[in-house]
Amino acid sequence: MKSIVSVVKSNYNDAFVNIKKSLNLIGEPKLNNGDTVVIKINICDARTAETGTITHPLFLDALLRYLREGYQNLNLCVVESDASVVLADKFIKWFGYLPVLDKWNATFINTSKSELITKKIKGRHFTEISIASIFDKANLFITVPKPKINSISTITCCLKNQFGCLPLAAKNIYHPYLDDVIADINIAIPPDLCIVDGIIAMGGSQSPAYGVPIPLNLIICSRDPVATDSFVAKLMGFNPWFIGHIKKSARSGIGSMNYSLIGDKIEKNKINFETSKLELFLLRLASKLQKRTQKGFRTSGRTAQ
Amino acid sequence: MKVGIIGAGAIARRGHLPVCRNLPGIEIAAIADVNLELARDVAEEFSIPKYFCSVEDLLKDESIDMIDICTPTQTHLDVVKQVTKKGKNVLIEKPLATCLEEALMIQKYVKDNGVKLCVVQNYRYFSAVSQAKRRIKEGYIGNIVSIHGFGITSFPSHWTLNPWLYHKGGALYDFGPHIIDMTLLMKDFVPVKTVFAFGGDFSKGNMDFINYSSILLEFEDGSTAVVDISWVTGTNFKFLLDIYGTGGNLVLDVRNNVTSENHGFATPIDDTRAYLKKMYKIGTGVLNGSFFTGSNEFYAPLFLDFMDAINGKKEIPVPVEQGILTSAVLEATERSIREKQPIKIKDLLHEF
Repeated sequence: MKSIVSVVKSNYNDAFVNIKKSLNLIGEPKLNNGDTVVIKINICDARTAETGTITHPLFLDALLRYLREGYQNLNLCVVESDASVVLADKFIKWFGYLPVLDKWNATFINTSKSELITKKIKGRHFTEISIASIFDKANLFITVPKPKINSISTITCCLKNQFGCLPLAAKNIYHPYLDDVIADINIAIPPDLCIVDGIIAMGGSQSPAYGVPIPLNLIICSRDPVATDSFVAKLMGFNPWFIGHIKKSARSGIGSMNYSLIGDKIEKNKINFETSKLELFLLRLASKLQKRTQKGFRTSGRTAQ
Repeated sequence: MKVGIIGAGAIARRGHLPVCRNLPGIEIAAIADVNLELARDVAEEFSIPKYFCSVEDLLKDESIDMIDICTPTQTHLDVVKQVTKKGKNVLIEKPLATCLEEALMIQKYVKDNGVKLCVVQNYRYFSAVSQAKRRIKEGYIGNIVSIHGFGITSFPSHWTLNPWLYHKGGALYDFGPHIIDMTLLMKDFVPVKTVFAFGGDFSKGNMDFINYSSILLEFEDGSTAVVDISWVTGTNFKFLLDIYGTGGNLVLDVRNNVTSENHGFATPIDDTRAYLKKMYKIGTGVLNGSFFTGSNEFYAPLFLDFMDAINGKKEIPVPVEQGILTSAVLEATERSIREKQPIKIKDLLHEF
């Protein structure tokens, strides 16, 4: 069965209108009074929003406005976790999210510092995963990723954004098994809705943190993270069937790689992610060498934290 | 010579220890860190026989000749006080201190206890830096009229999560000590007369520390320098000095360890030559790995030079006085940004 992916052209100034338009195309979420909405943004490094590394505060502003004005009494929670180079509590302040959260009466939860629950899963790498309890309370889980090239996983978008939900700060210990771990975390907390901040994407071989900001000017929405990532991969010039975490997530039943595209027409030949495939290949080679040095390492009890 | 390391964080683990543990005549005898577990792990990793959780305990070992301070900047003053009191020579990571007052107190401890102190300015050991110094000294550039310096990096979260740096020090005390030291070095430490700086928090209050600045320095000899320091540009990283003298122009690209010169008209041949030279330098650096180790490999010659200085064979490579001048410029910059006016270095020094 084909999943629906909507694409709408936008810039940050009219993101509110276009998020609404994009969601309209796939069917707006049904929410009740008092429901909890968890929004996972993407802050993967100490880089400003203009670099395309992190979810733009203006995009979050537009999304929170949509939820606040379109529904009644929602409990809005924006989440991010600490990582080896991320201090989530600090970065939320530094990169301008706090005024946005205040404006729309949303709360921020650092999933590395909040109460954890354990979910048993039939995963590829894990048999159980510890995650913040807020995910269990969510009536709607929205993932708000950035479409970026990634030297390890080729692309990063909806599926990999959930990797950032793992509470452990030193997430890089999972890099040798990244594809499996991404699939597993998406089994544990599959997003109900994907809203991609593709207004400034990131290309170049040093992506996902030090690449080239690509003014893609797109908002991409879907209920299926696998379909969304498959589309984004194609947009970036990659075959999704050759991207491990997309393929494995599809096989784990998280979504479908077949999709129908609706919305604005995209001129694909005008999109250039400025990525040298040779450079990416060399970087991946280096990553494989790194994997080899970590061979034999496995998280004890196959439990993620 | 027996060395004690204080601080088992990233700078010790990734910078000092890997290159210094195998140096001839140096024995890393002990390591101390407030986190005993970390001290133990690092001691195991680098085969250091003793580890402690306090400076006091490490200093009980009378056989240690020199202390290498790798702790966060905000601890420097206290650690130097303890270490110098025991008569130990000190190698200390940059920046020397969190402010000029602390830097001057460190100088006092060093003088009062008759020990030697060297600030770690490992970038000085890039071959391009010594080449630039030599060319300037030999007169190829004439008298320096102005320097345009760039110390553009991203947030150093891959390297350090030191709360002081992200609360107070900011970009100024992260890469500032390197670019200011390099500028002063190219000027052969001619005294700085005035500092006038612009900058502050580019995020308009979200970060609440200095994350970008343009610093204008006026030297006593009338020459000037403009130094850009930033954490918030999309660039990572640029460490470059564009030096203009009465005899020509020298570009010192420290990051890529390459220099180029321009005298008279810049022709396409000059540009091509400079480009090829840079490509050759970067290419060989990539092949022999030095491009990736960056400044880390230059801890070794600094260590050895300081050993020689302790033994009276050489001058101290980066004496405390030079660290104080850098601290004075940084403090003047901070004050100039805050007060929006030029700061006279002499007035600043007279305050303490």
